[in-house]
Amino acid sequence: MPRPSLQTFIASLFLLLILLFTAGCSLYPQDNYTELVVVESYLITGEPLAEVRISRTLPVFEEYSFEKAALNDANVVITEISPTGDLLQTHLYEAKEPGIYTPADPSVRVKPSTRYNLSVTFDNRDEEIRATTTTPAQIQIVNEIPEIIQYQSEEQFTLLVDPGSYSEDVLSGMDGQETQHGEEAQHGQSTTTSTAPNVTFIINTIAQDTLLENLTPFYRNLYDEVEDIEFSELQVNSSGLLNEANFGRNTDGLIELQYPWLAVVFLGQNEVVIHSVDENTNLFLRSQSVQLGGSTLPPGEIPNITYRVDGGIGIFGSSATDTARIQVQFFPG
Amino acid sequence: MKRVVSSANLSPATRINAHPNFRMNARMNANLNLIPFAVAILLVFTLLVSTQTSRAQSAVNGYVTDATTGETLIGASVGFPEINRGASSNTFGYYSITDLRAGTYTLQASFIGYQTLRREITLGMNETLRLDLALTPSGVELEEVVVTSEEEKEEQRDIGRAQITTKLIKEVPAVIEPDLFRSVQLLPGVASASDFSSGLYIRGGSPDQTLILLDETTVYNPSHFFGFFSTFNPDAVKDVRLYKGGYPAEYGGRIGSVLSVYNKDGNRNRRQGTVSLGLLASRASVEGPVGEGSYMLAVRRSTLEPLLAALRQSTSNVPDLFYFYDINGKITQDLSDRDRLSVAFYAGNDNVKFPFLSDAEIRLDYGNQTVSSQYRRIFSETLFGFFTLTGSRYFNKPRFDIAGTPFQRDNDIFDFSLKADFEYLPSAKHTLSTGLWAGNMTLKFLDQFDGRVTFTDRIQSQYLSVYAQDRWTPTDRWIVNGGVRLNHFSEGNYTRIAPRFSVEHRPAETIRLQAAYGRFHQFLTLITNEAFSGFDLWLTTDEGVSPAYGDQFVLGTKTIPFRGYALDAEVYYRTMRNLFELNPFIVDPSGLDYAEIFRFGKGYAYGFELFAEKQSGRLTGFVGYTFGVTRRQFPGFNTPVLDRPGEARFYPPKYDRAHDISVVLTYRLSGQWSASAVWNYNTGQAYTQPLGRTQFPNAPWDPEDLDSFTVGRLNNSRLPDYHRLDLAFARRGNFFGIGEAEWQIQLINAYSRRNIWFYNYDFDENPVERTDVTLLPVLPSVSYTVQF
Repeated sequence: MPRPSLQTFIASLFLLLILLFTAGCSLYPQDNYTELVVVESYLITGEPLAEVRISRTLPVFEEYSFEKAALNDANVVITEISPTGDLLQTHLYEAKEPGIYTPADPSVRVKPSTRYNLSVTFDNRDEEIRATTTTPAQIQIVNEIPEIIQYQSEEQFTLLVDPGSYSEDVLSGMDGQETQHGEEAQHGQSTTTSTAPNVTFIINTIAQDTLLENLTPFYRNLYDEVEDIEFSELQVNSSGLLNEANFGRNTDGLIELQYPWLAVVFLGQNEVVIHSVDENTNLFLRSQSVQLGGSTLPPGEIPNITYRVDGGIGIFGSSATDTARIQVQFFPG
Repeated sequence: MKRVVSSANLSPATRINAHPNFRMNARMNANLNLIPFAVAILLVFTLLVSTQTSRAQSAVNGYVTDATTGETLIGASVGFPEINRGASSNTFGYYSITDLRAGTYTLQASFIGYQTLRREITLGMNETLRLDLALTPSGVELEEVVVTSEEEKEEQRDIGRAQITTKLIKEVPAVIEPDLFRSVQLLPGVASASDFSSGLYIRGGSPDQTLILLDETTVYNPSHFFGFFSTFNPDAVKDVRLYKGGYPAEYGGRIGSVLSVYNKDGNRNRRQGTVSLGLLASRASVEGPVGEGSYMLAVRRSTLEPLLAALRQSTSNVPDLFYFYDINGKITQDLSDRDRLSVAFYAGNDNVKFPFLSDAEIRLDYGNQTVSSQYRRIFSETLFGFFTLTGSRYFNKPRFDIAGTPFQRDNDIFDFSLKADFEYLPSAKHTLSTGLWAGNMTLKFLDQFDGRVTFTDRIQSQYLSVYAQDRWTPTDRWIVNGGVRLNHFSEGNYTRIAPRFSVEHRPAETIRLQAAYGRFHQFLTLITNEAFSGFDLWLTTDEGVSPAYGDQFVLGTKTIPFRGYALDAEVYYRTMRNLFELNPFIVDPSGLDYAEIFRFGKGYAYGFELFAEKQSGRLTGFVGYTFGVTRRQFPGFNTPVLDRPGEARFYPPKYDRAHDISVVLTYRLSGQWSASAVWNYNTGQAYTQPLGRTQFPNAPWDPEDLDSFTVGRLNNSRLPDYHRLDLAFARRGNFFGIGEAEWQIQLINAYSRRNIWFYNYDFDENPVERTDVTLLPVLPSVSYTVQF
């Protein structure tokens, strides 16, 4: 067999190398910045229709202020839609401040278990923004709240939460949620046909006596040691998103929520506010926490937020809330 | 199909198990269905054995060992140059050459770093000669040229294969401790995620795509210091073989590669040991003869306590406890000249206790334990068998207690298995191999939050795989290796067949042309974090979660341009399908179906690797170059910013890099002094450049503004190129006449390159401020080793 030239062979190898080297350039080009319309509005059941904030994105390294980003001359409408898709009511909005739009009729209240559409158009822009939310069922704290709670006592403070209920028509229009099977609502609305699907909570503890000496030992030390923490930031302590399945439902359909001591920042009077949030808010917050680094993604791998807004970005979310007031004090002795 | 699990649970235990008996029966049936297949393979094999063992030919076989320690040598070349016949010693140091005619021959045995042994032997008609060969290590004289033949690295230069010697591991500069994984990362085709991670990213695969074996036993979390370096103690390691891709049918269970580590058996001739003292970790080992065999014990422990005590003088945030240790042991006994039994174990643990602020404490405790018992039997001159019982445990037990709210997790994996492998040489042209691997894997989870058990479960999964392969050498210019592997995994009841094929042609003595194809399956996925591997969690397939699979195509050439040099090149292309991994957007998986916590994607990788090595002389070392591209795609991920979930685009993972160069050199300055240098360069890692920003100030549950970026394509930008030079100087001497000693002085990142790990964006500043989070600075270190 004739012996191939080793030199030719090696030269071919290097030629291949150069070809691959060249091929490796610009495999994945960079995008350019694009300005986008941003909407923000959160409907809360039982509360007046929420304001809608409309702005635009700014380039990342430009100084940001809402006033600078605010978009005026927007036509904002929120419509109430029946479970079968029929238009029930139209709520017009008007500009209040730059970028901030409020309902023309401030007496309108947000209904639970109801679908609302948001529409935004502009006189001077081409974008048309559309978003939809289905408000959660009205939740309710149903147990007796003790007058005084001893901080870090063995007996923990527990909340019993009625998750409310939906009509079957509303449920069929909701994305990604399932009802609890085989259980009947005991404490729901009168139109109930099904208990609420698995609820996603955010639990806030809002301190009413925000004195330095009222800080619990952990947070007092945290405040003393960590330079970046502003005292005002400690007033509201938020749990982040919590699936109902963390707690489970009792046989009577109530959710038994054990309140962790970690949530108490200040002794004294506190409000415990439970928010049941819709799927838009759930997706938005989950993806926002991932974008800021709270996931298994490696550092520097930054995805976009999941917005559920057509034609722009932002959040058109809804929630139902109830509040318990508690008095926390150190265990005597 | 919902089931309640805890927020901390990421386990397969969410699976529906409404009819556990039915499921168990289904699994058992599935396993039973495989048994005929496995039996059939073994029967065919036995039949071949029975028909062939009566063949009347002469043969020679035996063990190849180190003459000074008696340690078996893996991959040594044994042969008869005058008739162009030979073989390599297998993983137990055993060789066999059959189909020889009666006559007188010159037997030649060689291995890198050893003097070539030549011996004249005479074989009678139908004689089988048992000939154990002891090779003498080469000296360290200057200008020494170790005699090497092209056969010497025969097996080591198979397609997709790479070899790392323990000598190299100990010679090259390393942070804290000489590290096997850090040394493997220097090879072309192998990338690291950062200076802080010893994870192996091989040919575009993530670390869980590499099967890590220690003495044939799966190791699930081979890391110390939460991923900073690997668990393998270089004092205990005898042999490391890396299959970067296209690996043969005898391995399976991962779609990427295999790293198989073999610990030493121990010195069979005399007792010896080493003690090595370092600034941050120290180690000791002892080995020697016992009975009809040997033993080996190697221990290693961090020695951070003095450093922590010094830090406590100036700062309060110092752990109360922070250490790791590992212990390797092995005992080997010859039951007869045909039977050898060994028992090996490994135990490693990392422990941190870190009280912080008032009323808060973190405790982290994780580690691995493995035990294996291997029985090797020479059934005849043409049939060799080995049987292995393995046990592997991985655990992590993080505990947090913050302001009176405790939360903790207990995560355990128990994996017990039986392996049986046979190697049969029916003729000089064929080497048949077959075997099975059956095991039971148990995953246990217990999560508690605030004193309540929020989730507990125990998952058992059985697995079985059988393989058969033939290495056929039709002529001395061609080698064909074909095989098939059948895998079964009970979780989800999946059975998969994986064909493997490779061919090698030698158009000239100094050129080998190679090609390989294989299909590979994977039934496990790893949830980990590049920056921290202390909470690693493995998850399995199940109903609705199919195994990942991929095809690999490899072309390669191995050349010897000059005596003592090697130049190798390989091109690869691989697919990755049905990749299942934890959906990063599931922040709280409680209440979800098992399949709902995953995202399912695909990917591909291709590249070119070049490896040039100088094997002898004062200056030795290698240069490795890799051109690589890897991409992933997951539905709904990396879509355009305006929600269009159907437009998921392929993107490069962070560890993708176009160019990667490693230069590893050792120069023997004198009989006492030597110097080593490692220089590494690679294209900057991929990261996502934010393009725009906005704020959401009105959230009713959050008084703070919610900041957000808008980004374009994911990982569409590159960090500055990475490069680093590490230096090491070693001086050999004598320790008061007791034994040899060596000082090693190292300088990591000698020219203080401030390589960037990632960018941090500070929203508290307006406009947003970007800061660099950098990797290792200049790090000097010194160690002293005594060998007695």
